[in-house]
Amino acid sequence: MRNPRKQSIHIITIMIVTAVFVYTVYWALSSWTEAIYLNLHPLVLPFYFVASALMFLIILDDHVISGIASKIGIVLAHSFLTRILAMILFYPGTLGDPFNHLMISRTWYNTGIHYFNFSPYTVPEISTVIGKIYVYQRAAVQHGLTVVLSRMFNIDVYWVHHCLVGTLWSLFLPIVAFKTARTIGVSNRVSLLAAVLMANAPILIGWSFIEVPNSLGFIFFAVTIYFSAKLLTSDAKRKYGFLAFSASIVSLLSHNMTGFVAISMLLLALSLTRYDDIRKNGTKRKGLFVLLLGLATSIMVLPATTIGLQVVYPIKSNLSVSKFLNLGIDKIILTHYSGYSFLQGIMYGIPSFLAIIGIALKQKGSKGKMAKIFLALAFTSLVAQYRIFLYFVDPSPFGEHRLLVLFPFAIAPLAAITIDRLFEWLTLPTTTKSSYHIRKSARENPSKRTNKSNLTIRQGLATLLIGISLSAFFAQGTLATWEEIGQRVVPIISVYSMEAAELIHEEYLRTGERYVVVSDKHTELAGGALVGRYNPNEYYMLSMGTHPNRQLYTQAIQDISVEPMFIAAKVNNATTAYLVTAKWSARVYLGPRADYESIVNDLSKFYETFAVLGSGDGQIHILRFRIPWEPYEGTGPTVTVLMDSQEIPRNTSYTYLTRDKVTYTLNLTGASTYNITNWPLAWSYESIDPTPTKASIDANTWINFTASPDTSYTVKWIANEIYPNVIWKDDSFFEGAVGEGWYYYWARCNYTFKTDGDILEVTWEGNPKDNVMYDKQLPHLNGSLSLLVRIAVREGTTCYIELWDDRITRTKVFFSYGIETQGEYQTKLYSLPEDSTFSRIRLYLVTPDGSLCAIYLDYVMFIQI
Amino acid sequence: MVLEKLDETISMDRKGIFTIIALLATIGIYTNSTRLSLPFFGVVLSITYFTINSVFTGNIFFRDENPNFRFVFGLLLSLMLVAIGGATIIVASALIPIKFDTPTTTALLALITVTLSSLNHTKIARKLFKD
Repeated sequence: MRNPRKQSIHIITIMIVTAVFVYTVYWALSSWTEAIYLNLHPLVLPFYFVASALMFLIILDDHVISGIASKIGIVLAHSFLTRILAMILFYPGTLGDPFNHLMISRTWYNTGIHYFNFSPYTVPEISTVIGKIYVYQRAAVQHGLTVVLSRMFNIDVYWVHHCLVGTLWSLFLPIVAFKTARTIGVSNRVSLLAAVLMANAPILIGWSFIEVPNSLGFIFFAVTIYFSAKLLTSDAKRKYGFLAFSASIVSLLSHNMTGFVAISMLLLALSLTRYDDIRKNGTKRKGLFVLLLGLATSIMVLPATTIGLQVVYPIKSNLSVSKFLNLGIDKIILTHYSGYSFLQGIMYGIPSFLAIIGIALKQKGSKGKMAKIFLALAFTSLVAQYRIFLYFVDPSPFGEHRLLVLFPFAIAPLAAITIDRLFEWLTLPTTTKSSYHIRKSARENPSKRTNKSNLTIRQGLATLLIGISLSAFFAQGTLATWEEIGQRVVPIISVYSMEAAELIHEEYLRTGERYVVVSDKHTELAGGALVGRYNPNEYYMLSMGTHPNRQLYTQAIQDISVEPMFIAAKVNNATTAYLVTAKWSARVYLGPRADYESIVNDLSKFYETFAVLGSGDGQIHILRFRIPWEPYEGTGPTVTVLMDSQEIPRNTSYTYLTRDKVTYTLNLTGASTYNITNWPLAWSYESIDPTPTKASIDANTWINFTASPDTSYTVKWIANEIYPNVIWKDDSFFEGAVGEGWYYYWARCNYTFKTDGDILEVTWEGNPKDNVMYDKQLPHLNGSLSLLVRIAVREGTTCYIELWDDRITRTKVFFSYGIETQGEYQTKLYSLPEDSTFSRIRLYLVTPDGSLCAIYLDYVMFIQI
Repeated sequence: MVLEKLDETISMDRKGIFTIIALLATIGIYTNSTRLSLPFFGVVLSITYFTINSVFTGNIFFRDENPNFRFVFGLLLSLMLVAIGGATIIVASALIPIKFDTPTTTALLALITVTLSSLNHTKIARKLFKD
């Protein structure tokens, strides 16, 4: 029969713990907002700290709860609490790889086929059978498990993916750690401490809820360590050998890095068993040789497979001494710790430090000795592998710091031994006489302890000291991880992006129209996660690697253009293209000066506004554009043509896909001279085809050319019919005196300024930062105006356009900032300040490094909105 | 005590009743996945499936553990089997024209149950792993 007093204390404690845990979750839920940044309620961390402190007090002290099952239950609950908090705070997920893998799982779930089969691009990686197998096996466990569980539970792939790592980590890692510690023959308290340490070590807490294959690999790596330790301590060697091998294969199919390290750990354990067998037969030296050989093999497994990877996949890593020689002395000695802050160094380094002490501490009896040696050698092997990668593997196919994350899985029980020994030392009575023997006897026989009341106070204080220190350590580690993730640029996927993807998907289900989406990074990931990667009917353009989404998106919002939609639509022959813009993306992609409101306003002239979602930095505009695969054609305005001095009004014809680029065409034949005038101001002359024998052009007013009467000539103009109200333009760029044409204002370089009556070409070179300025007077323009410029700027050239008001004093009223077009003609639209008058336009051209620079200017227009 | 009793009853699997229940759960999962789409039904069936298979796995590999740990490690191994099975289908689809769809998933789940049940009944595993 259990003591009723003890039982009531037990129940009250459980109730208090439950209340604190529930309140911690409650405060985390209160923290959550729809913002894309981490928002932490000030009470989350104190409550988490108290929850952790309570757990440690229960682990360290047997007076409150003595049953091991209850203690394990509380450790598991705390483990879940840690993951639940992170998942709430970062809901609906963090930017980057987790959503990339969700996209892949979604494709598997929806189609049962690898996403590469839908790729619109050539995939050289899967051209060979080996390469194909390699590609397919990557993260196969994560995708396989997510898809199977999703089908079993009939729960959306998103939720299974989102909860998988956190649940497996919270449930299995504390138990695996507990059992691993038990293999080295330590007490329940040490095992429980090891369980907490392995599940929540600061260096790996970030991996414990991020849904990536690496995290799953870590879990099965820990399982491999446990089964390998059991292999050394149990009589059922075949069974545990088989289980360790199976766990390492699962780890390998989760993530190759963790898998190969897991295999190396199994090899190490096998060499230890061999060593043990040989040693028992009396040939110690031979046993030692086998052990060293096993250790060396285990150290070299990962580097060797990494370098061998180039046989099957286009990743080329080599062993290189030059990498080592290029490292600073601080990096060589302190490794990644040289880049950490003091606090990070303490947080990440303490478990290893405690483990080294734990290895040195003597243990009672020989039970578990081999497992302890195994864990110590595993630690050594991991350190060696990490250093080999850091020093010699160039380039490393993964961040070397990921190997540091493996340490706690091997060392948690060893570090727990040290913490426990420290606790024991603090709880035992101090005495001047033969302290060693008294402690030893007290440890072996607690009933012989003297001065009982003092002991209780000491024990209480020691429990508080160790418990509070440990909870502070883990709370700080958790906070640091949250903050580290939270400090990334736009770290949390926007819920509005998720909603936008849903809306577009619903529209597809309603209409069945094949679509393509060019979007900000959040929507790209949210959309892909909903419809799968490379879905041919619902295609989200991607940004990773050489995929062009970011480039197209930036072009669309920077140049206020629909051209990227045509490029995107060609990928899957879409009839509808969506441009999903997020407020944060204007600042992040275009710089702090970008004005999101005016960008969206300008875009709405080209696109239909489908939906506007949310507010703040995460606000989303869904803009839709119907792709006109066949051009619109018709008869355009009449222009005046003098054919051999006879005036004949002639109709033009037009053709366009989008109204921002309408081509007007005039066909002429039967005369030997032509003079064309009176075309609309919004038109910009482009070409005469075939090239006439003699031509004289002022693209602002007339086109004269001599021709062969038998030949048919086509004269072309282009116009942006979105902005037909042109109030002033220059399309010819002739030089002249002040008030008549473009004039030299200032130059400190060698330059040329020449025009063919249509295109202005300016070239210049000199010393770095040399510049040239050309100005032209304007007829004091004001009102609600925009500046439309068609320009090609050579790469490496700095070009600005300025507008000045010269009426009273010379005042600069507009500055374009650097214009970049990568050598291609692009049309740039600038909204101008409404309360200003524009008296003068200036081209301000700079050579950044003194080399030859050039711009080609087709037209500048002032348009009334 | 209840858990121990349940563990013992399932692991005994008299007349293969629990194997049949697990297989019926698999069929239920297939039906739910293709026709009903009820998450509650799916959760209940999956819990049934994993409970039975976890007890089988625990009984095959971890007889020397106490029932709680035996069940947890049984569950871990069951999940590992599902993971390896899923991964195998994925890798196999690189070589042969096989789809990772609902019928394949159901076949995998059924195969796992049949294999575990056979190992549990025939004691092959114990003989195989006897040192």
